[in-house]
Amino acid sequence: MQIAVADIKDEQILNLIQREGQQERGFKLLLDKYQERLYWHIRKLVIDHEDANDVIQNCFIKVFRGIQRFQGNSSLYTWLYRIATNESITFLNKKKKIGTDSIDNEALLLAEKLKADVYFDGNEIQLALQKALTILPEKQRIVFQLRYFEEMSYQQMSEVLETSVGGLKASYHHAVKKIEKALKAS
Amino acid sequence: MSEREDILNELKDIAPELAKFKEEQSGTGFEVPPRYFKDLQQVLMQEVKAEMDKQTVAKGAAWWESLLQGLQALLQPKPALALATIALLVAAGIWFSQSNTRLPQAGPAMALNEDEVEAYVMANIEDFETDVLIEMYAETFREETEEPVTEDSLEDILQEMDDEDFEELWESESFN
Repeated sequence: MQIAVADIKDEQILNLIQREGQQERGFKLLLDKYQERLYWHIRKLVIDHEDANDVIQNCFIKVFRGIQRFQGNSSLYTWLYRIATNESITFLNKKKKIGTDSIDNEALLLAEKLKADVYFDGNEIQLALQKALTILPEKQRIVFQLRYFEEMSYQQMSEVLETSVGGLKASYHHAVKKIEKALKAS
Repeated sequence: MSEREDILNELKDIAPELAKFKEEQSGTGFEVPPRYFKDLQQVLMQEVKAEMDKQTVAKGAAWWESLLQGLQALLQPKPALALATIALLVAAGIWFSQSNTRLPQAGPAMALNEDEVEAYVMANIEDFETDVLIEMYAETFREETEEPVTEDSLEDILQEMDDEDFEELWESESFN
């Protein structure tokens, strides 16, 4: 009987990775379990597939370099999301330095870009939601994404973003209100 | 209550439109090229293997580097002098400890019985100073000697001496 990847416990994966001679096997299991989830998380933040592809590769190199020293103070799941989120923010900040577009222009450009993107097949509402997300400040956007799309608890979000639960609730509330307003307007 | 239900209830309170949207829409509209995740895993595994190789080389280089640094540090004048002193002390210690262990073994081997002593004396009699022997004999057997011992009479006297006389002569103060 074959065990589903989702059923493999994080502790088992970590044990393999931290054991001499079993690293490769352990890392393959880690990819089996988390690569898709992390890719989609990154993709929703950076939008473009090619960008997401670059970011996820950097992300897993960082995971590999850091996992030997992973102490287990947080769960593997939240630790991975933290690295993916930080890598995405670093990428977006680099991109911001190059571009000089205002937020309004950014939203318009994104809409055009998504319409032309062969790897985006969303309907009008999904497109409207993506456009609405671009008006959010970076922190609110990440908080919204972790809660709304990844369906994380506030406690898990607190571990990923290293922010208090109270602060996260406030950020999410503001983000939701802004998106609701933008969706009604569209 | 599941996390998803929590999120939906929370949204219904603050953003009913968005809550409705979340209930109706399951995806985000984003897609990936065919076989993308399979290819991604292969690429990532190759990168991981390259990283593992780098780490192995780095570990080996670090070991060699630290060995060279250690040797260089030892070859500086002060540490080298200290090291040479320690080596000398250790060598001397080993040599002395071995010398001490040899002495008790040599003791019994050197012990001679009376016959061997007498045989040795007789064989090497010419090596003894005649004057010394005469003096020793005169002092040891002072009371028994009626006539003074001369070089001519010494050989006769020695021939006449038995074991006890020799023993007495060896143990006398004049011999020691």
